[in-house]
Amino acid sequence: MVLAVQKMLCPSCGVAMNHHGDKVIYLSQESGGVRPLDTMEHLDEIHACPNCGGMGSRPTE
Amino acid sequence: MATRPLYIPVILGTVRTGRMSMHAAQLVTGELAGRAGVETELIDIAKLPLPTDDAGEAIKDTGFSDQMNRADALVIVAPEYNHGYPGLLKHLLDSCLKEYIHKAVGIVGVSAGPFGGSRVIENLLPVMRELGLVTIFWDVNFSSIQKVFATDGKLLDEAFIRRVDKFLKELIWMAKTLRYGREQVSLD
Repeated sequence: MVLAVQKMLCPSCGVAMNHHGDKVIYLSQESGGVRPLDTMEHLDEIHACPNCGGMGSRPTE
Repeated sequence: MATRPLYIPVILGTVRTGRMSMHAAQLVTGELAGRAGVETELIDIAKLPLPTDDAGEAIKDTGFSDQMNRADALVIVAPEYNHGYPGLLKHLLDSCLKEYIHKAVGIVGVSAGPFGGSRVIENLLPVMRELGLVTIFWDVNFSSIQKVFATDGKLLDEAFIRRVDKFLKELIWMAKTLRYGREQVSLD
């Protein structure tokens, strides 16, 4: 079953954007000042506006 | 399809004093500027703030990030230093990430020797892929750059006009195609 997902709206012109890609984002974060750094990752959706070409992103649901 | 002009900046990837790559970058920028429906500008990394006390998105420059967000395609002019790309070029490219996704890139290699930066281009390809950029299959190779341009930047070998034309035609086709994909073709 495919879940309905709310379209992301362009922050510039308000038009519904197109979800065209996903990107793994790696974040490095110090953990209590202990090194080496812990590495975390999450997946972001990448969106583009068909009206003005603006870009946006948000974490995947 | 949208009629907004394509925005295709040219990144000059070296800060070295006396860089002949500047002439190559100016040639490509000029040829791009003369095309209908294309806006361009030369981004000189020597003029960008590039802190070296951190790296990655932590040193993101707002102006450069905005340019990459707006870009439909990039031209990277990269001299070959010891078979590789200039460290500061990689440092700059690493400062953005999502800005690049599904955008076209063409690479112009520059060398003082006979190979025209072919090794720097090959070394940049996996970097482009990881950044989410889409490479075209045309390059421009400026070999023996000191023979291609006079020290004042005058082009001495007119054959490069045709080579740059071929390269830009392919880049613009890919930029249009990827813009359509970004804006109209859903991943879902």
